[in-house]
Amino acid sequence: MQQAGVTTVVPERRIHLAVAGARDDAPAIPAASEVKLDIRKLTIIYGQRVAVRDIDLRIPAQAVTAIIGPSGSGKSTLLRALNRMHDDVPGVRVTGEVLLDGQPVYGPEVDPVEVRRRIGMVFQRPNPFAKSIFDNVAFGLTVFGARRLSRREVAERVERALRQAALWDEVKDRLDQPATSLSGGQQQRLCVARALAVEPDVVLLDEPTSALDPIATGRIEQLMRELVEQHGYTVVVVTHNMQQAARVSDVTAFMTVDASRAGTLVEVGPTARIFTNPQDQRTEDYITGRVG
Amino acid sequence: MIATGQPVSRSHRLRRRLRHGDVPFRLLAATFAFVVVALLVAIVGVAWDGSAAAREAFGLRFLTRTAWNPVAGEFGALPAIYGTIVSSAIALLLAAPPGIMIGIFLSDLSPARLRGPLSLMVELLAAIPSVVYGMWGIFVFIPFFRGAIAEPVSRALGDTVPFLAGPVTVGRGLLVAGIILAIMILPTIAAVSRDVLSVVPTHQREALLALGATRWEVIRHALLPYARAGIVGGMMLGLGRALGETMAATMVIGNTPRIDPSLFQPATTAASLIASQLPTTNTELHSSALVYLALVLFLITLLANSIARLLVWRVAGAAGGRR
Repeated sequence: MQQAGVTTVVPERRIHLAVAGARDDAPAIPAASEVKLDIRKLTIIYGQRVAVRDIDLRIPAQAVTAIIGPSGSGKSTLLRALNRMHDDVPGVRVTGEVLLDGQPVYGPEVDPVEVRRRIGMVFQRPNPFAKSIFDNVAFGLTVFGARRLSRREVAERVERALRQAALWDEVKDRLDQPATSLSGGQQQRLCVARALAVEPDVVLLDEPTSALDPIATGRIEQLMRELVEQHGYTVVVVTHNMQQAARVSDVTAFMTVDASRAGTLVEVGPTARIFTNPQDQRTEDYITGRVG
Repeated sequence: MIATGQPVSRSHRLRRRLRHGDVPFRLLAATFAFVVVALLVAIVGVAWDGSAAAREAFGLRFLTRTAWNPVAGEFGALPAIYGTIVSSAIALLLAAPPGIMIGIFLSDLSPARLRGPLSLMVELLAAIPSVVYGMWGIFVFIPFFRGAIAEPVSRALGDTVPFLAGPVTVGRGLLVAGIILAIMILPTIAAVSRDVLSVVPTHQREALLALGATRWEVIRHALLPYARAGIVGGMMLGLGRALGETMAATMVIGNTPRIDPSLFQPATTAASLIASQLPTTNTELHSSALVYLALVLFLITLLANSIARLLVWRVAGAAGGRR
């Protein structure tokens, strides 16, 4: 920080802005018992290229964890490794360990289908099925639910998921209409509801608002808080939007690209501390807008 | 360089377009497009002209008459139409399920290392000349089929099921033709299925995967609904090939213009009847009847293609509306 006056003023203002939305009551890094996902020495290799190297990260239970960092730092790659979305992609190798409540996520005896039922995912672009609103949410229950649910149980769980996704009031009178009749923001909340209907423990969101307008973005951010505070989910969100991370997350992990162009984890900590008092120069450079 | 926003004179614009080849290229491309139309008109014209004598003699009854006797001057198209449609239907029925499954395997299930070589082999299957299929049918398949399937099956069931009635003589017949045609159209259906399945958007697969769907469920609920229109299109392409296939069908079907309910009995298709008899016609009516038959075959394929188009449009439209 030996820059001239002008350049230091700007970062400080940025920091202030970012912190304005950050939560003061953010917990410190939780004790081991509260760790939902324990990521150990995780390395992901695409063909010959190391996409993400040696990640050690503990995701706290019932909190929002944000993963931020510049493009190409492997945020989404890391996120997708948590529920084994890389399994069917040819040429991807994952080494290291991921533990969900202390149980391995990877391993020959673990069924990836079971993992994905416990760890739901919402993607960058809303991707509802070409079906009605109701059928989208009910899909995971009726089509490949573990046990047969009665019509009433399905309807109840669809309603609960839509309520948790803060969409119920907008769609309760038009459940039989096609999902594509919804706006982009509503579609994204429908995708959240679809993921919640199968009752996962963890919800992963991969840049969930990058295709949405500011108002729809605000609702998704509010929703992420509700999922944690009111419904007890564990949420992990990848975002390139630092203000978003500051607004919604309890814990922030910062990733960047190392000298060999592999993604690495630089720093993780309570969101308020990461944005006000980063320990690593690279984190500071990024959040103050000097790089990335 | 011309600054943007500055008015440009007409002649200048024309010169620029000519220099870049826009106008000449467009003319050339349009010419070829219209050549297609001209060719179609010419072919239909020749068929219409050449079939004049037969059309005059038989009219539309040609389609329903069953006699085909060049010596007596009796010509009816029904046996050939029957043989064409039944052999192609058998081919489609036999080739569609494995063809679609091959497509699914190549697009989604195959290990990356196998995908290339397997795809190549499927395409190679399509590149084998039909006369080779015919020869394989005569020398390998028919002897096997007659001994291992046709004779025992017709002995066991022939008395109760007219479709399987014997006696099996030479072994050539409708079912054999249908099976050979099925092998020939299999690569078409497989390759088209593979292509349309592999363009199903990733986000649809991921949505299902992330919900905890198994691979089969992803195929069943994301891939097949999305690719349905294309798969139907591939089946129809295959059907088109089967309807018009001449050489292989001629070699294995037995070339007997007769309608027999048994699939083990020799029959004929429109294409194979024309190919086998046209070189040796003695009367004008005979050759004219064959040209008339060609016209009928053309109409059948046109009809099949139109139905296929309609199907594709309908499923594509329905899917598109909901997408």
